[in-house]
Amino acid sequence: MSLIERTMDTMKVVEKMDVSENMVFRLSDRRSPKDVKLRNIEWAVIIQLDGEKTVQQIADILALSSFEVEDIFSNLLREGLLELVTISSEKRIVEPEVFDDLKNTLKKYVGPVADFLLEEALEKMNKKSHTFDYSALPTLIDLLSVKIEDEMKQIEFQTEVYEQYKEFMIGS
Amino acid sequence: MIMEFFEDLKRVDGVQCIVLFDKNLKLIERWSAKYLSEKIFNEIRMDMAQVFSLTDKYSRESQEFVLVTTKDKIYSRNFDRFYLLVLAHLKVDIQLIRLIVTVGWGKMLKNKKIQKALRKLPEPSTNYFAEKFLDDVEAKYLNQLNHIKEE
Repeated sequence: MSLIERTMDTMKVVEKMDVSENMVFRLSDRRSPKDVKLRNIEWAVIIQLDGEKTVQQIADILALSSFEVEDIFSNLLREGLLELVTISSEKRIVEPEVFDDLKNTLKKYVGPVADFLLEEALEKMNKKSHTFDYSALPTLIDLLSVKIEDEMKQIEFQTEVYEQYKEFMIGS
Repeated sequence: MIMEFFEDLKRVDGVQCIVLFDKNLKLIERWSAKYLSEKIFNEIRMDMAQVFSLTDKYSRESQEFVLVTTKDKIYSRNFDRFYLLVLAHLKVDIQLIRLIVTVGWGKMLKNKKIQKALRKLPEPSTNYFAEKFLDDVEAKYLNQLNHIKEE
């Protein structure tokens, strides 16, 4: 296999990588960003690449949505500009019973519409219940609590769920 | 005494510093996982007071904000009688911080002893926009804001 064919093979493999928020990238030695026409936002991402920050951390700093993250990192990978350094800590997936508990707790405050609100919140977060990790639970709790009208009851709901699952959230 | 309601913040990996101030920026309680220089400490607390004063001044009530730098995140919450400030590594999830703070606040609201202690904390009496607290850039920016409001 020639050098060009090997390089193209490697680039094809990289191109197929699904970008996840826990991945850590650095700039590749094989190609310079100056050789590629990049958008301003892609340059902003490149400046953040230090081989330590995760995709999620860079997204937080630049206020990128999940769609933007997917689009930008996929493009940078396709152009051969990125190297994967590592995938930081394993996700801890939330058990299905947790969602049942969450629904039942929320029902006490909003009634039967709790089921719908939970589905709506998951959709807003662009997450599925079967791949939902504990690190995202605080965000879900926040999205659900704002659906409760009374401010004190919002705090009660958050407290109830937090006390039940705090060891998983703090440790995740 | 107040810090005990936010103890769980200390357990979050990456939280570096938790500080409580009264409304005149007098230190109430402080906890640090790592050393924070007094210069940085004073800058952060003044920034926090000025942001909340600004939002109050222009009737945009703000109870919390987050500042993200290249190395850290600063979360700040504006309570009735005190400010809470959390300095954390970038990897820390702000939603987790917010949740712990809200839960702690909920417990404080139910604690009569704490409520009594909070009422003893002073009302705000410092003007954080006094000339001595502002540099040239900040003074110019506030001047522009005032013009916009008058329009």
